[in-house]
Amino acid sequence: MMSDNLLEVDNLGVTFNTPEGKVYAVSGVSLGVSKGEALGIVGESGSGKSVTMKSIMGLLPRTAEITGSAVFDGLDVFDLPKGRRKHFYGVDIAMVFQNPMTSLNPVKRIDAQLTEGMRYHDGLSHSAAKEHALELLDLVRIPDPVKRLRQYPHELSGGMRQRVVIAMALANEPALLIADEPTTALDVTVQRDILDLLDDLRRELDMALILITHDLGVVRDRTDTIAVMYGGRLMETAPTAAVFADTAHPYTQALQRSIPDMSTPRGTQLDPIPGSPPDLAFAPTACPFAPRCTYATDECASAIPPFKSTPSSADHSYACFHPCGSAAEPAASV
Amino acid sequence: MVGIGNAMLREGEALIHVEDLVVEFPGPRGAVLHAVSDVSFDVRAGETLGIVGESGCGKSTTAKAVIQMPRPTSGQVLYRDSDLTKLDKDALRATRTDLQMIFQDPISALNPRRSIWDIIREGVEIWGTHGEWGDARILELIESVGIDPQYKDRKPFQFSGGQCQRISIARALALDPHVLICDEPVSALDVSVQAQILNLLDDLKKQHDLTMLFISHDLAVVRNVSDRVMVMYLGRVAEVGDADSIFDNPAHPYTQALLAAVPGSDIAADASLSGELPSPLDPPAGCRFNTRCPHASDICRTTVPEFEQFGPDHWVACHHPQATPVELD
Repeated sequence: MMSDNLLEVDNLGVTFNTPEGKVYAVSGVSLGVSKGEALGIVGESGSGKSVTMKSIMGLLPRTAEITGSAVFDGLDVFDLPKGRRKHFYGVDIAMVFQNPMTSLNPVKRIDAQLTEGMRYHDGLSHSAAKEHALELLDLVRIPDPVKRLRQYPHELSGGMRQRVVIAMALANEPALLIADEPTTALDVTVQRDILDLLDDLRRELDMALILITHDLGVVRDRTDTIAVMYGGRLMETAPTAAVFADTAHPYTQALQRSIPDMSTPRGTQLDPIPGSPPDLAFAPTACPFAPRCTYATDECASAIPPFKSTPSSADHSYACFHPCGSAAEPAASV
Repeated sequence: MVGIGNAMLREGEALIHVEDLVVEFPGPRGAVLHAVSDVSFDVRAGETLGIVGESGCGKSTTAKAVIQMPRPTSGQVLYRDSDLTKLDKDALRATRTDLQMIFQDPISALNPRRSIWDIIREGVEIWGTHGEWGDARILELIESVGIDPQYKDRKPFQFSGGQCQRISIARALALDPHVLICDEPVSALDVSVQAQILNLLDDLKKQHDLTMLFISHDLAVVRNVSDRVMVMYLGRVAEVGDADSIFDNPAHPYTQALLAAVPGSDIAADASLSGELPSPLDPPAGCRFNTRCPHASDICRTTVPEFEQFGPDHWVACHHPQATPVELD
């Protein structure tokens, strides 16, 4: 597929071989991020959102079988030339994880952890690296960085730790930052600060950002594009505004309806999605959402719906036989 | 509180009446951890009180102190006019059957080696059939929380997180309690399952005439389920009252900051918090929020604000409340 995307994932599949048999964690996922763009991947646990990104980061265990392709800036991610891996992970792409405490080494001071990457990748001297570390702490808006550099992770609050982890990820100015639920372990009040920070840094450094979350609210105002995943498959991808204004996939719609927001009057009965998320132990042969979908028909349980664009926008595509919104209208009316 | 005073305690019948509750834990090197300080509130029969605040604000400790788990350092917890803090062990055990709790992580809350039938029936086995609770009614209860009774001999690992939370709820209801304390009941669940559990709690509340304490950090969820809301910060109460009044007209700068932090909120970002949560080992003097409050003045650093009435059922402990009070007759 020709495109000017920085990262282009095409028809990605990931299966795990477990003692209980195969687990089909990700199937047929195609995504793209261009330079400086922010992509939000939304899904609940088991939807395959983290596995998709970990496959690109080379973080999956050996039991994982990866099919499909991922191309980053002309490089085949799954077949990196020898010696290129070091540069690729850390300089080209960096990742931030959910729990900042487990991302940091508890017995090393912040300065040692922060400078490790730059000394390794850029061969900076001890003092030059330290200088750069101070700049980075400043960049992620940590007050009193000189003092913080000499502290251990347990001396920092959760929000501060996540800032340090972000600073580490940015040390070599990656072209793409992947943030996997960066605020889920943090308080709501801190969540907003961290999301604002990521937003600002992306603009300042002209960096592409992939924000993985289970919360539609988190990506709503902060991304250019949203991809919704469920049961290891992509359900819908669209420019952020269109996901909310003209939802095409019933799962996206059900997700929005089932969550109360601040404008929901109190005592309102919610509109829950019946059932529970799918078991991934079976090779996908149908729409994974079909058993819980109000619009499902026999067709949905017997075939995988192909990806289609909505009549209103070529960038807005969905995988459903019975879409909602403008996608539901017959083509003639457009 | 972030203040003191009991002006917000209401006249008349309260099912739970908590006054000047203090919970302290021993800290390192002789220090004292002030988990909950001078908290007073009341809950009427059939009401749902939502308790919100950041982690470490004392919301769970407050709810647990109500059922004396552990016993508070000082203060009064009246339940139907008996002071739970003064009850002896046996009397307390008997009273606790009336106040049940469900927890955040439903999987670790259930014994992995026992069948759900045993788990749900245990209370009845210990206390005897409370009222009408024979086996037939327990089957009915299992069905009423949305679990197929034919799976009653399965063990917790054979159920999903949402189903385990349903089982916890059934266990809590097996002794016919009047009060249900829910500590972050949906935070550990998949987004697509949360609404099922919230609706179930709402249905059961009506069916069993429950009074609820509902702890959550998710303001939208709290707004959905609560009649009244209590906002806590660093062991004290900042604002308490009718849920709509607090969410539509927040007066405490901390409540405003919390609301501003909700994704998609239209409250200005300058209301968001700066600085770090101070340590409960050494809470700030005066209003405990003064170190992070954009409106703090000298009085905030010296004097603990007292509760003042802000609306018909809306109480704020702040020297500089940030909204216009509703005219009171």
